[in-house]
Amino acid sequence: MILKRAVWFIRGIFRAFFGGLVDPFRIAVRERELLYLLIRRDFVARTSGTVIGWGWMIAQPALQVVGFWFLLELVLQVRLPGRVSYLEYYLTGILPWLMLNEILMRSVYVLDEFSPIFKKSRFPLSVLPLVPVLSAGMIHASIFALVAGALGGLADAATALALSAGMLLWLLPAAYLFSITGVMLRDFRQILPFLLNLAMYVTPIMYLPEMLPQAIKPALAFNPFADLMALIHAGLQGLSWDSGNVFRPVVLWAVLLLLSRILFRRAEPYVREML
Amino acid sequence: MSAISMRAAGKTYRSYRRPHDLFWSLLSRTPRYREWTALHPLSLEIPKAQVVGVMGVNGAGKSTLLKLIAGTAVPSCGEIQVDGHVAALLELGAGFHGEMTGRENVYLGGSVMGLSRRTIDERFSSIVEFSELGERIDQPVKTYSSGMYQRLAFAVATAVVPDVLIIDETLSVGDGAFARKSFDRIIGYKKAGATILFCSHSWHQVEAICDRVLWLHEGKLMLDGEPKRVISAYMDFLKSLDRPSDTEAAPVSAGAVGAAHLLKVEVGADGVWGRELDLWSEKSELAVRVEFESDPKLPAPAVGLTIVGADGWAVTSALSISDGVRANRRPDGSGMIEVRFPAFALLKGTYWVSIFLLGDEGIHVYDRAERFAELRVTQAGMELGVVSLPREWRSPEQEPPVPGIEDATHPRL
Repeated sequence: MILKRAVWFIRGIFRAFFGGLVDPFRIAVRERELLYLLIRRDFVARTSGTVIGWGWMIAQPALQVVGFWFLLELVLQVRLPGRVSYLEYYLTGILPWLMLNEILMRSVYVLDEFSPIFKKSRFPLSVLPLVPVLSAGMIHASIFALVAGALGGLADAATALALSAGMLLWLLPAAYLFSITGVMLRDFRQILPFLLNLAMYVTPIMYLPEMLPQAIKPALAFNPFADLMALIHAGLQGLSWDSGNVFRPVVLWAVLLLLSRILFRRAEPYVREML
Repeated sequence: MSAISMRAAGKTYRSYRRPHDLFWSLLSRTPRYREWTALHPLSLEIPKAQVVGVMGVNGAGKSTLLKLIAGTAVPSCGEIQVDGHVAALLELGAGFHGEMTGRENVYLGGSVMGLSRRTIDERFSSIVEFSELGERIDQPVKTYSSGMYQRLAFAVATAVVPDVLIIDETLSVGDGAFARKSFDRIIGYKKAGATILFCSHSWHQVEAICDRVLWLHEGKLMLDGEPKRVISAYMDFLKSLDRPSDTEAAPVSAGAVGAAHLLKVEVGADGVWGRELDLWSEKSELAVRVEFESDPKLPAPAVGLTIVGADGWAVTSALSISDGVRANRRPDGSGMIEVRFPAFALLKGTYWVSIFLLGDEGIHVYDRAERFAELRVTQAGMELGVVSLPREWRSPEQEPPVPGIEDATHPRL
């Protein structure tokens, strides 16, 4: 009996895992036309009435980057030990971070944002968390590739695109989880900007991990974003990395995938009633 | 095979005091909510091409039933199977964005409804033609009037002949001519064999359109059957609640909403015209004169009237086309029609006359003047009730009884 239950449980876990892995892609392919129009609607909604229109999609992150660069390099004159220039290091970290930040921030609101569409029509709800992932992904991955290409050539541009794709894949379960959590735990929306700001400062984006005090360095092992940054810097700038940088984010990703799949499926029938 | 098949399908809504109660309920599988049943388990088979009306007072479960069939709500129990493409006119323009052009919104709205780009491409010109937007299709939707917006939304929602069409509450979309056009399209779908579910408070429209009526009350199916029978039972039920039918209880209004308009309405009794009239039961003659204008390109409108009692219940009604009368019109579409009720048959009491200008089929309402005139009826006799029916008494001359012979049929007591 216990064995039977264990088999049933493990089978359920595997099903949820592979469902969570495959379903977003299946939905993206099946609903590609709808997805394209929703992303377009999203761009229009965000830039309508402005002078430079869609230009803001690029100008906004660019201004953020320039602001930080001005403060850190010109005002505080931060310098990095080793061969990598500060500007190069900073840009390589901040651009993917802005993508991550936008995807997570928008995911918590995406179901509310599109509720007028799905509340009174037959609509595949599971397509919605893909909107912030793809919309932010398209913009930020392009900027990242352009900047990486300008700094290191065509090969770096391709690497930046590949790293962005990997990061989007890593963020997919979080997007599903955050979208449903945003509906059910409204306080989460309020605390998230603070948490992301905090995460940015404790992640080696504006400084090298080596610049941290020795006592704090081991704490980076508990920061999955630090692992992601290590892999990105390793891919583009040849900085050091270890297997832990891969293992920890993959484990977290698998846990999030499972959790998001279970929670999203269980909550889906009630979302229309909650909003 | 049925177009819609429901097997013990019901809907219980959960009410969470705080949003995070849902979160903990889902994770721990322990209930942290209160439940209320909007629709008790219901089994239904709706064959293809049947037009089904859904009636009931507010909160009866009509919208929940439509949402379950439309797939915008998930049943809490049982199963629902719907065969074919469903178009639900629950809310027009779902997914439209004001900053996007009409063209972009056609594709967006169509995609939200599950239409492929290819299907929308094929239907695009007919959508633009039907919505009468012309070159404005390439302007942002936010620049449209509400009528234009609704026309476009309706044209998109009904672009493809659905297998199942679900209509909640309204058949009129946009301004007058378009309201008729949209109504005609729905009737066209009926003729084309679509299964239609139609929810309305208007028993008049339900009776005119539907093959079958479902009456719901407090989430339970009270009666399911032939329209006249169900509507009659529903009206009796409303009367028992002392609640007039929603249609008849509408506030007094007189305003043009259609492609035909009431120009002048006069109500008279025995040659006296006015809005408060005194009549003698069975003696006075009631006259109603209606002047109207209409689009000369459309068929002549029909004119209907209802006389309602003090409790808001329709005592009687008359419809020109049902009596085989068509209004004559001038070339500009205007015309006049008069109806007379000699020897007014209603007994003492106070009544109100409402006048309706309808489409040539007698269903779509162009314009109305509700509770236009008050009739105060007095009577000479002692009859009870609301109407004096035409009658004939007979009492044959009786032969005087022959003395000594007892009447066998009526023995003396």
